[in-house]
Amino acid sequence: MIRFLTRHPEKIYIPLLEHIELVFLTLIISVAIAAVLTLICLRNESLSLWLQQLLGVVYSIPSLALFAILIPVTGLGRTTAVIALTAYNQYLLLRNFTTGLKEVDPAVTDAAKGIGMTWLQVLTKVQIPLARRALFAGIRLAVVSTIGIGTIAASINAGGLGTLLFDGLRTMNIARILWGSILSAGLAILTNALLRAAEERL
Amino acid sequence: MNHSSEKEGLCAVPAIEYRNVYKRFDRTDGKSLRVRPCRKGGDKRKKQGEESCPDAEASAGASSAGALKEESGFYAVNNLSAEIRDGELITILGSSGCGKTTLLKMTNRLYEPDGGSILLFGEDIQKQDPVQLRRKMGYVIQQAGLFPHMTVEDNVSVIPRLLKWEPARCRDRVTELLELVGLEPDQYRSRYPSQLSGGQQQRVGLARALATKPGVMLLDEPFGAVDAITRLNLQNELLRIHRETGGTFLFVTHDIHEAFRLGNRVMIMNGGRLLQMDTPETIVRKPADPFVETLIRSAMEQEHFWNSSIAFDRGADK
Ligand SMILES: Nc1ncnc2c1ncn2[C@@H]1O[C@H](COP(=O)(O)OP(=O)(O)O)[C@@H](O)[C@H]1O
Ligand SMILES: [Mg+2]
Repeated sequence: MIRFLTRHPEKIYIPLLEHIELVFLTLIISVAIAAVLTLICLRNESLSLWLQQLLGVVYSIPSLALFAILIPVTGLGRTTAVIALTAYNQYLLLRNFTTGLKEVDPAVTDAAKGIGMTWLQVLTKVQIPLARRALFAGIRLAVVSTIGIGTIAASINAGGLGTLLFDGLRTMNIARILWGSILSAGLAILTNALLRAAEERL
Repeated sequence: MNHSSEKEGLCAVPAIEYRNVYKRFDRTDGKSLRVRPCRKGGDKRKKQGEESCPDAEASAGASSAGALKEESGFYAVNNLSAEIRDGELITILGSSGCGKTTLLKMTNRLYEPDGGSILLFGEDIQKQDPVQLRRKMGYVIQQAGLFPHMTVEDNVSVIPRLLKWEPARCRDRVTELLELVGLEPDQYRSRYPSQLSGGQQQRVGLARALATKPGVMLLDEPFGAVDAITRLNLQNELLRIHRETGGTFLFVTHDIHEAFRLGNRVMIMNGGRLLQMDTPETIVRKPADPFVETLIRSAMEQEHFWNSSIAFDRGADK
């Protein structure tokens, strides 16, 4: 294993960097979309229920199947992976965002409105600061889930740690398999721990 | 002061005027049906042509109106009309669920009425921007509703800061307000709400509501959750603040002693209706309604008990 690392370091760190890049890209797009969807859901209760249900269905589609559905449309590669991973994230993010914001004490939001804040001010000065932990927890769950599902993205040529795993499995190269699984599991566990620590400090 | 002999509406424009105000809630899902009886068009969710004016229903005695109430909702505020003069301290008295909060929330447009209109110094509030309207009114609620993530200073100066006041001016205003509500400014300004007692939180809530010198203050059971001695102190402070600021105060309470002690006039509500609105003396002397009579009698009986046993007032907290 160590020999594999010293001989082909690029075969490890390149997939690792690719993976991190994939997660970052997905995260930024997911949060942006989820933020918009959350605003819409907060203002429209029935649409909110409907959307949550739809996203729940999407979330329950196995990842290989979702990639397969998308390939005819967006082809092989990273774009498809990002789209699928973003779709999964919407369920986690929207649920955490909306429940987090709704759990803010209505007495506080009522008072905020009553003393003359606009809805945007209520959101940015009161609801988001008070729901910051729930919001952050949603993001943490999404990141960890993306790291995990992201390994499967290698199956559609999107790169990442999955390539190590899949190549290793195909060639029965134990070193690759081990590096692939250790790094992807380690990345998920480490990120989770770091983000959780950050969450505690919020 | 005896306002009872004055004929209302003769002199200046009333500070607040309620004209046949209605608010209906749906019993089942807790939402307003958004039936706007007295306004034409714009109704998005018509319920099989049932949006006739409740005024008309009442005068025609239409039986369908009664059936309608059973099926789809009830009036939390029912045909309420009242005039409040500038500078008055009005208490709104009624048992829990009689529509006091609903009335107050319609006054600053946290709720929209389903019928009738509310005028602020002669201008229909429906035609005003809700945010601007609320900044002309202070709003204090029972749980204080302080922002837990902000210090006392930031809580009190939140609207001035949104209005882009100079920091120095904000600070001076906070000092002034904390002194007004009886909190030592330097001791309390950098505390968080969780580091305050219930009574102190209410004082901060009061200070926050007074920050931009609103002409009208809406107070929804502000002292409902504090102990009796603190409440007595707060009541005295409120009377003093009312004298010093000279604004129009609407004070909701379910405590008859509080209502009669604070209000220069008292509005007595039951089941969404206004039963009587007059000075405490007149209400005691001439109750206009059997319900009011019972209310007064029960309060007097309690008083009698306290007078004959122990010599201090514990209030009639429910
Ligand atoms: N948002 C709401 N949705 C449905 N019903 C409500 C709502 N707010 C108040 N009500 C109902 O309207 C009635 C009057 O409520 P409220 O004005 O809060 O009474 P009070 O403040 O006098 O205790 C109550 O029966 C209450 O259940
Ligand atoms: Mg109430």
